[in-house]
Amino acid sequence: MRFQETKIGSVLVAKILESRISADVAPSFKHHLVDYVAKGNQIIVLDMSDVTFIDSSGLGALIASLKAMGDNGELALCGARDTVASMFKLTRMNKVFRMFSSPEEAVSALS
Amino acid sequence: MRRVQLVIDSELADVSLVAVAVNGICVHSGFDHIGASQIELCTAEAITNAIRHAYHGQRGLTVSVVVSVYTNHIQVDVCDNGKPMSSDQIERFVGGTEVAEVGRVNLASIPEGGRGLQIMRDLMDTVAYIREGDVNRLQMTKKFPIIGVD
Repeated sequence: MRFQETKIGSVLVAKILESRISADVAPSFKHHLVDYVAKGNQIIVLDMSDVTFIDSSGLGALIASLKAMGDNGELALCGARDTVASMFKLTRMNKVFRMFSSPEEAVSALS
Repeated sequence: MRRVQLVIDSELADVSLVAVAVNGICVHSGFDHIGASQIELCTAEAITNAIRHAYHGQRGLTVSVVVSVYTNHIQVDVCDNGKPMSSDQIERFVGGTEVAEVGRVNLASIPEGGRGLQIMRDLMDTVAYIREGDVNRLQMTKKFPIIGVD
């Protein structure tokens, strides 16, 4: 999977440069996120503005990554489109992940 | 009734080919983009389940998706020739799974998988599992939105 990474203070903003997070790419997606954590990033914002589709496997990769962050880390999402946001609401994951409208809003809230 | 059949190899990377096609058929048939995306998602979940659970990830097998467009609803049948659902799986499929309250407090208890069937049950009007000979058929239907009704 391709990401565009920007470090703003202590916050890593990783923009997902793929339109689909599905079962075939979920392991690679999870690997990237866990690698961010292993490199010491404690606050990660995933910019999902280019993502038009996420399935339950993609969601599972996000949950696994959030668990890998431990109690002191933060994995937040921003820019979710309506189709993606509705998936989080359906599965109640909007109560697990902090969701922001833009990277700027996320960085401001988490810095 | 109009009908199209799409067949792919049991490759997770090919699931999106059918899912995107189903989305297009749904939009063409009268669903808005949210409704079409929901049916696309359910189709992808059903195919992924067939590859993972019926075929145990084995490649070189086929998954067939039949989309039938009726006057008031659409029907998606996802078929494979793999292992049938166990009685436990059927029970969970029919009865649904208990959805625990989720949140950061009980993060460790949130499962990382197993949401596919529940998503299908939540988003489609009907979902049925049928075993016909050596064929597993997951059949889902959803009514078209009623235009002009608030």
